[in-house]
Amino acid sequence: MSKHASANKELDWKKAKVIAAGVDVGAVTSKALILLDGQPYASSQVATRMPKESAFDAINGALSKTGLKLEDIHYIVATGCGRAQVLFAHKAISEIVCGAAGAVHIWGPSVHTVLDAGGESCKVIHCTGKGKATSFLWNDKCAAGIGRSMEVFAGLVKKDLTEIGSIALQCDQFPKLSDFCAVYAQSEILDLIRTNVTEEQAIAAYHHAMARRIGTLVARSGIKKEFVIIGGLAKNPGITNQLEGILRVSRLAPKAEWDPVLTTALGAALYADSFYRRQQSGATAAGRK
Amino acid sequence: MTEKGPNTIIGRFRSIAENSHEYAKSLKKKGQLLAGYMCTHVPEEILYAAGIVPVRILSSHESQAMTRGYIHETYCSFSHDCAYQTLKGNFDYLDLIVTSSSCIHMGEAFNTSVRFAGFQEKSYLIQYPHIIHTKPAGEFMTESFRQFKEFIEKFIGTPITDEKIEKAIKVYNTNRRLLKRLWEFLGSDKPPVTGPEVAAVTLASQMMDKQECNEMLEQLIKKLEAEPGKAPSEVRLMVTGGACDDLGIFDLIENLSYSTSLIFIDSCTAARYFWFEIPEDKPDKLKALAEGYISKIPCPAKDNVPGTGEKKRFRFIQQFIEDFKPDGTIFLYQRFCSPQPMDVVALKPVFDKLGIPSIELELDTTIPITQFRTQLDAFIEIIKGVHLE
Repeated sequence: MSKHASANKELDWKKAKVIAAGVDVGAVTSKALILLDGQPYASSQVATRMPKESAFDAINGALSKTGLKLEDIHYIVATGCGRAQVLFAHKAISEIVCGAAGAVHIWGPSVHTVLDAGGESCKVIHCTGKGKATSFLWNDKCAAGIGRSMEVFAGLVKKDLTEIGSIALQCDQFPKLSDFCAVYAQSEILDLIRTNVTEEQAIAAYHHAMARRIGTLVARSGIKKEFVIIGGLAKNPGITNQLEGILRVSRLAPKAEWDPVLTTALGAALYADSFYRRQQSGATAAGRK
Repeated sequence: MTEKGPNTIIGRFRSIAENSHEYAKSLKKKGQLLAGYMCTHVPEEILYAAGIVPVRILSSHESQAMTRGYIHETYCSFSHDCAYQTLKGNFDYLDLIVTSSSCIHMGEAFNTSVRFAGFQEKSYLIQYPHIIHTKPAGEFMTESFRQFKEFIEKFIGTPITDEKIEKAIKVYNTNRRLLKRLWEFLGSDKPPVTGPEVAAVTLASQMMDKQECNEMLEQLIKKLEAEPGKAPSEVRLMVTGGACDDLGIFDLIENLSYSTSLIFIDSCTAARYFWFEIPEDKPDKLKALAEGYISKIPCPAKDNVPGTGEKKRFRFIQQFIEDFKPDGTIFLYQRFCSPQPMDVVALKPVFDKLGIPSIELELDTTIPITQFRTQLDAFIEIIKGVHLE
């Protein structure tokens, strides 16, 4: 069931004082991440089907590499559009707040703008250096510029989603498409393919149109440096390179040790860790009274 | 009715708001003449003085494709939906439809209804000046209302006397005062009524016979004054924007993952409908009506103070902020509406300066509940300052 699952064998969960987990049930992928005393320990990603089941699949995927059981986890925070259906979570928090916390944890306190380019939506989040979200802007209802439309496009040109961004980088001369609508842009692509452009040009043209679409959202929101990109589209160099060119801003380079898809789950896990510690210190304080 | 509690009366209002055709048809059965109106700039008092009950044409929230052949795709779903209902025959019981030249999207809904839904011989478009904060605008409106009155007189075959207009003005002003009193409960520390309930009552009032509405409102207010009120919620939210007759969105605002309450709605389907009065006992009734309608909280489509670019609505909003003390504001408008989001550009800095966070939500035929819930939950988390320790 797990698409990806991994665990840090150098850590021993039996020695951990706080075991916290974040479960991010997104529209396309469900992710789970477990922290041991704030250190990343295990994670997994599965394709989202029904949110309730996918949440279980994700956490079970992460647990599968560890010997941990669900009941061993002290605190679980659910996030993502399916967060309300994570029945085993202690608390649910929006992906906006979790995304900001996760991004600042990964890239550090210089981060003040986070673009979360996910499967169903694009969000620009402003945050403090401590990872506290201060405002956000969500994409409108149109599908342009989001992961799902890229999946559809990859199917249209019969390419794998993981390679399509690299193909887009292969040419810098391409026709300009409408960035108003993902569906219009795809119709235009079909038209171009029937005429005289190469497949690489067509793919580059589509990426450019989608990057412009996302760029409009970022520009409307405004960029406070430093700027980072998280979510599935962060792994598509065709989008990220074009976006940097359009915005004339470089994002902080991705961290090799972090999959940007896991950023929001990490934020949720950090909140789980924080809530558990607060709960414990509250209980201790109450005990002292 | 006097034996019933506030919830029963509110339930009756909500039922009228959600089953407006049923209510209107019950009036029709009693022999009542009914006029559908598409914009709150229509001086309902003239219709009422003529013995006609004005019934607001609102949307159905049914997904449909029928109107695409009549109205351009990029007109708002609200205008499409209203036109859809007249085309479908849902308003066939109306004796007349009326609108004013204000919103161009609703103008097209009106034109479609007139041309294709059988209202050719029973419709009237009231001319309205583009900019209303000027002296000539008042004169223009007085004359325009005079022509409308003449049309209605011809329609019913009887003159409309000044006495009848004055009586209608008083009935309508009473309704406005009662609705205002109801909304003022939301500004208190322990309101005995909720924002969605008040929104439902206000929506129902737009399709009701005002005398019946006033009687129900008087009873409701009396009951509410005797209620102890509910504990205050953690976050108070204000809505400002365009027409929204989808009560589901207001229910959602009060049913998030956090304790929230909806404390004010600045829109033409809520406060902008009634937050003004017509001067009473003036010798020239039509001039008084013009004066009253100019004093309304302006629709963004009409709101420009010549020479300054100032928006008169912003002054009202600042007053509402002072009186109702919101912790956050939701800019809520129809997708493809131009004047509302243009106002947001200028209005957002006003809220920013006051330290009141804001969020924008676009309405369509149906509401994407899960996505709106996520956005609103995130908005509340930001207001509450959720952070790591």
